This record gives sequence, C-alpha cells and structure tokens, in this order.
Amino acid sequence: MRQETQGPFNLIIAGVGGQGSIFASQVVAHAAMQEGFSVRIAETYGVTQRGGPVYSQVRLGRQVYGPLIPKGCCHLIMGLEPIETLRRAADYLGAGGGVVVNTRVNVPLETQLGKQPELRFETIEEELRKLGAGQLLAIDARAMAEAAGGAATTNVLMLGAMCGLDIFPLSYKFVESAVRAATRPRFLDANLLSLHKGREYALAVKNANHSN
Amino acid sequence: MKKELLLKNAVGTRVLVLGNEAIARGAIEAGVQFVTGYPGTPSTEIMETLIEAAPELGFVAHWSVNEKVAFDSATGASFSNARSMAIMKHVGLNVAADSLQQLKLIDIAGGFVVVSVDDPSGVSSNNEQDNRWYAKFAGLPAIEPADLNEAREMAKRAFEISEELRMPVILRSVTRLGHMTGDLELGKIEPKGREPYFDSSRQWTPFPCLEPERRLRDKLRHAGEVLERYQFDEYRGKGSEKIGVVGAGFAFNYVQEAVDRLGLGEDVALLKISTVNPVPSKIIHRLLGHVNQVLVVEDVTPFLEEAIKAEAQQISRPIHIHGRKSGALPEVGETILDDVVLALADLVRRESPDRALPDDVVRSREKEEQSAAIQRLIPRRQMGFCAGCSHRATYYALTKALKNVGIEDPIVVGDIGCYTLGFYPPFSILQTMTSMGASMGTSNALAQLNPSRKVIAFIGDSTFYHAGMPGLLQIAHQQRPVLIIAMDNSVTASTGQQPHPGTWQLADERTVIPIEDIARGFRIPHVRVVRSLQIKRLIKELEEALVLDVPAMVVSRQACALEPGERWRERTVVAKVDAAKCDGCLVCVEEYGCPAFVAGEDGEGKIAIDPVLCNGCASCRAVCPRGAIYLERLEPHK
Repeated sequence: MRQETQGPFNLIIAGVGGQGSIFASQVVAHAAMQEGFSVRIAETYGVTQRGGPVYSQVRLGRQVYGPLIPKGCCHLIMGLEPIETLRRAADYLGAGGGVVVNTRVNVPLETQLGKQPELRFETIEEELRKLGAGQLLAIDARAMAEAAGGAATTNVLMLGAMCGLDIFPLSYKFVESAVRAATRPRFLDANLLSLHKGREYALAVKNANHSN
Repeated sequence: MKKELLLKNAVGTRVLVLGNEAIARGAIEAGVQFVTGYPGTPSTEIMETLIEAAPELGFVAHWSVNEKVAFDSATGASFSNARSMAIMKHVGLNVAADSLQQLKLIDIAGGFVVVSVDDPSGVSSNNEQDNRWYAKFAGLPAIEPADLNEAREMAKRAFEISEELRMPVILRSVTRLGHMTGDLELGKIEPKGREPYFDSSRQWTPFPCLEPERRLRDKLRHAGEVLERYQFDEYRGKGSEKIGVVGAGFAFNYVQEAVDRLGLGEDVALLKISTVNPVPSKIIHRLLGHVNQVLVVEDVTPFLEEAIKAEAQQISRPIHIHGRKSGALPEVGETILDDVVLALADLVRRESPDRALPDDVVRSREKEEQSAAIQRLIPRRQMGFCAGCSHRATYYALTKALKNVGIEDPIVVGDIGCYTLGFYPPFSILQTMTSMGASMGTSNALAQLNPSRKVIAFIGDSTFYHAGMPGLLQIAHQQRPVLIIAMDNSVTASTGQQPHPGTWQLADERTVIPIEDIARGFRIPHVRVVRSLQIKRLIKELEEALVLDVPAMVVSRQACALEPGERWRERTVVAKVDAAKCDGCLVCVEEYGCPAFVAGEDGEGKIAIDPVLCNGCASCRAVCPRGAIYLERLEPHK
C-alpha cells in the first residue's frame, strides 16, 4: 500500500467527450469521501468537450491542495479510449503506474479521411509499456458492456475493471454504493451488472497471471 | 442528493461540490434575495444552482438576456434594499462595464456582489483577460478565494462588506476553482434580514460626478481597513526566511504544493493574498521586511507582482521580485504546478546554492524527450458537432446552396456559440469571429466595403438576443444586403442548455419572442423559418435568399441535440447503413462528419453508424449519394 507521505493518490480518467468520464470521476469522488479522503477533481466542461479529447484529474488523500496532477506523477489512468489514454500517459504516467484501457479506438475524423496516420491499439499498448506502466489491463470494454448492461454502460464497466487493480485505493463496496447513488433508477440494474462484470474480468486476469 | 444538501442549514456537513456551487452556497448562506446573470463557461453552474434553490428558499433567480441587463437588474434590486448578485464569466463583465463604472459612484443600499469567473488559458473563451484590473480600474473592493471553503465564505461575507462600504464588491474566481470538484463544509444559512423598499427621498445617480468621485477614493481607502478585519490574507513565516512565496487566490494551492514537493517547509515564508483591491500592503510588508527574493504566483497577468514591486520600492534594501513579468513564470496561460516547482527551485538555487533539493521533482530530460516523441505519434482529435446537431445540417446546406447558385467567394462571418466550430473541418467555412453579437455590425461594414461579394452572417439564438439585436437594427436601417442565418436551437447550448426569450419548450407562450418576429419588426424584407434537419428544404431557402440584394434572414430552427430524450424528445429511430448499397465513397464523412459515422471497421472501407452515438435525427439520409442510409425503429427504452 502507498504511503501518505508521497502526497495524494493521483488518478486520470481519459476519453472522448460524451463517453461518460465525468460520471466516472464523480463516482470515484463519492466513494473516496465515504472512505474518509479529501478529494479534488479538475475537469473541463462546456463546448470544449464536444467530441474532443477530455480528461479528469482526480486526487485523493488526507490533504490535497490543487486539483492538477504534476507531470509524471499519475498513479493510475483509466482510459475510456486508447488514443486519449496514451495522450495523457505520455505526460502524466508515473513509473510503475497502473493503466486500465479500453481497446476500442475512436478514430479521429482526419484519420478516417486519410489526412493523418492511423494509430492502432497494438502500437498504443506497446508505447504504454515503454512508458513503464506497472499493471496494464487492456479490455474490450464496449463488447463486454454490450453483453452485460448495454453499450452505454462502457464507462461503468471500466470503473469495475479499475476496482480490480491492486493499486486502486478504494473499496469496491463504496464504489458500488456511489454508482447506486449516481444512477437513475431506470439504468441501475444495467450499471450494476456492468460494474460487476468489469471487476470480475480484472480479477480473473490477475488470477490467471498469478497461476502462470 | 447534493442539491438538497445545498439548501439545508446543516452546518458542518461535508458535501462534494463544484467551486461554482460553493459560491452559490455562500450566497444562500448570506440570505441573498435577488440573483441574475448570463450563462458563460466557466461561471454557469453558480446561477444554475441558485435557480434550483430559489423556489424553496424564497428568493428571485433568473437568467438575463445579457450581462448588462443582469448587472442593471441587480442594481435595481440593491436600490430596493435587497441583497443582490450579478454573475458572469470574465468577458461578460465587459458587457456590463458601463454600468459598473457608474454604479461605483452611487451609495448602494442592499449588498451587491459581482461574480466574475476568469478563464486562464481561455479554455472556453476567446481571451484570458484578468478581471482583477476591473477592480483597480473602477476602484472597487475585490476578493478572490483559494479553495472551496473560502469560495463559500467569501461569497457570503462579500454582502456584508458591500453593505458596510455601500459599494459593489467583486468576487473573482477562475475556471480551475469553478470547475473543481471537492469537499465543502457547509456554514450557517442566515435569515434574510432586509425588506425590499425603494427610498424615493434621495437621488440614485452619480451626476454631477466630482463629489462622488472624491467619495469613491475615501471609501476605497476605508475598504482596506474593512477587508483587513476579515483576515482573508495569511502570512506564514518566522520572520527570518530569505525567500518568500506569494500566491494570489487559487494559485496559493500551487505555492503550498510546490513548497511541499521541494521540502522547503521550514525555509521559505508563505503569503496568501486573497484581497485583490485595495492591495493589502500591511501584510505584504510583513513579508518584505525580511526576504531578499519573492516569487509571486498568480493567474493571469502580473497584477500582484507589479503591486508588490511597487511596495518594495519603499524599502532601501534590494528585494528581487519574480513572477510572470520577470520571466520566472510563463507570461501567458494558466498557472500550473510544474512551472511553479521549477521557478521556486531556481530561486532557491540562486539564494542558497548549497541547499540540496530532491532530484525527482523535475522530470529528467530523457523522460521529457520520450513524452514529446509519443505526443508526435498521437493523432489530432478536434472538437466537432454532436450527433444530431442542427448546426452541422445548416453549414452543410449552406455549402451546397452556395455551390448551386455559383457563389465562389462569399465572406462568412461567425459569432459566439457552438457554431464557432464552423471554423474547423469538415466545413471550415467561417472567416471572422470576435465578441458576442459582433457578426451583425461586422457583416454590415463588410457588405458596404465589399459590394461585389456576398456577405453571410451566422448568429446563434442566445447570441442574437444577447447583443445581436442592435446590430441587426443597423443592417435593417441601412438596408445592407447581408444574409443572416440565425442558428436557432432554442437554448443557450454551448453552456449547457439554459433558456432564453426564444425558448419555446419551457416558457409560457406569451413570454416567447421568436427571432423572426423581431426581424420582421425591424423591417428585414425577407425572413424565412426552416427546420434545420429538413436539409433539402433548407438548401432551397438558402439558394433563394443568397441571390437577394436586400437584407435577408433565414432562421434555421431545431432544438439542441443535447436536449436528450429525457426532457423533450424520445429517440425513436437510429440510422443504419445498407452495406449492399454503400460503396465506401466516404462523402458522408468528408462533407458531413457526424461522430456516429465509423469508417472502415468492416475491413472493406464501408461506413457503419454507431447505434449508441446516433441520435436518430435522420438528416444524414440526405447526404449519402447512394441512398444507403435507412432508419430503423427502436423498441421503447432500449
């Protein structure tokens, strides 16, 4: 477990506008409050998010000053989209930091039109490893969410997967209750199912690695 | 849950809120009676919270059509002895500045707080102007909070200060605080102590101005003593340190963290300055009394750095003041922690060359190079219109209409709102954009001086009501042949769908004033209203209007696509691509660029439509040259 003397726990949630990164950061924040941490989140709102790159910086600890994470000091990145994950990891990921990343690339318009080169997931994964990612969990979250609570629950499934990483500092029960509190009744079953599936998957991967 | 808590008198309860919500809570705790403002990122959530709270707590809260109207309304409330607040983003205060510069000279009655949320780096703005200068320019007291609890407390105390001094108080915040989520401790909600009453026994005007101007100087001198009582500023030192670090408002967070990271806790004196105007010289001299080097950390301009430099002139010993002006910190852009750490480390090396600093606080050159190399690999991802957005349809229709009528070199003027994205691919059609409503006056002159070219001005609905109407009157009065395309999505969309006088979905019918009625009232000779997503009809209307030699307006109307099914519309269909008909020509991506289009996932270069992102607007059917796009009915609630 980390020592508090290192300062707050730094988490980045990266994605494309509309993928639900703000929902995810709010869930983490509420869970952290229940855990007794102080919380600071920085995120971008307004027209800046329309289909563009978005990321939330989340900091938890006994004492947190500002919400901005210093470069190279991020302990964990939850990537809803792989290109955006690498964009943030390049600047922020600390040595041995954890990454949980969705494998589905959201291809930028100019790439679709052939005006800039394609960046494939395999390359992204390789670069993340070169950056010194400790735990790296790649997950086809969209497909898994479609089979669980529906495609719109992809962000929640990723949250669940993040809960399965050793480095994640919050209890699953608090994350689950934060998802309950933040979800409209109509979508609750779907969200809880995807949350659970995501965590199950992360734990299964961990156990498989241990037995290897 | 959060909103409920914000209304409760639950003193000491910890609740997770935005900085903007903390300011709203402060106003509630002060027993605010009248609040208004105009939406603008990063300030919007303050008003949204207060509008939600108003019915239960019994105060007046509504959006105004622009910041000047908001400021003047809050003035009327203050003249009525009510505690009032006017809320806006930094550039909004430009719109209200005329009124601000007059009101400063009048002894107000009810406490009046002006909230200005500045946007360092212009994250959601055209500029990063520093509104602390407005306080100095006008001669008004101003304060800026460093964290959520201070945001709440200062918003609350600002009313008392305003009433004691009988002048408006500016509360300056920044994006990073307004849009920071964190834990706030609730304070006590004070009962409303003032009865609204307008005193007709005196005159409420600064004219003639010399006596009021003199009194303003006296009041401002007194303001320093009043603000000092509140102890918003804080000195932390032993009186022997050689280095002092000053943080203005929110930037003080970076000061504290940088000092921690460098392990300098015992060796530097810290000063938090939250009093913007008048500059708190007494506490500044406490620091200047013993240091040789001072680093000033602040957003956006060297406002405090220059003030401290001026104070240091009074001391015979040389004191070096560093900050944005000296080059120790970047001259533009938001303050970030990494820059503060570097600047402070530099200062320590200069003052105490033997002092050991931790070597891991600054990233190694190799790490920086690796990071830069990866960034070069990563493709650009620009913002674009949402799936189902009416603006995409309108820009597409104009592109087609221009081609059909053979206009090759139009002058296309933009304005402020989501439709500003018309500067970027796939449309890249806009050529100018300055301030709210400026498209009207700008296009008027462009048409006059470029008579051989067609001038087209785009203006959004909220922007039109805000500051577009006087310019349209000018165009009508001079009968300039500008084609105005009103992008009417019925709400102030880019700030999160706030209502305005054209919002037909919410308001009582009598309160809705449609744009076309105003244009006809202004005697614009050709006014048409079209549904944006009926693209073929829209193209026809635009073709007709483009060839006219008189002022013309086409209102392209369709509710904002982010008004989701939850509120006004339920998505009933999604678009699908018939793979047998699609030949992978990519015309849809190239010319329409909806984010729901997915190219090449099938390995054959054909298009698919993401069923989650598709909004079911059906407009893309008009775009596909092969007719490959069809609609599929959705089961309810899926």
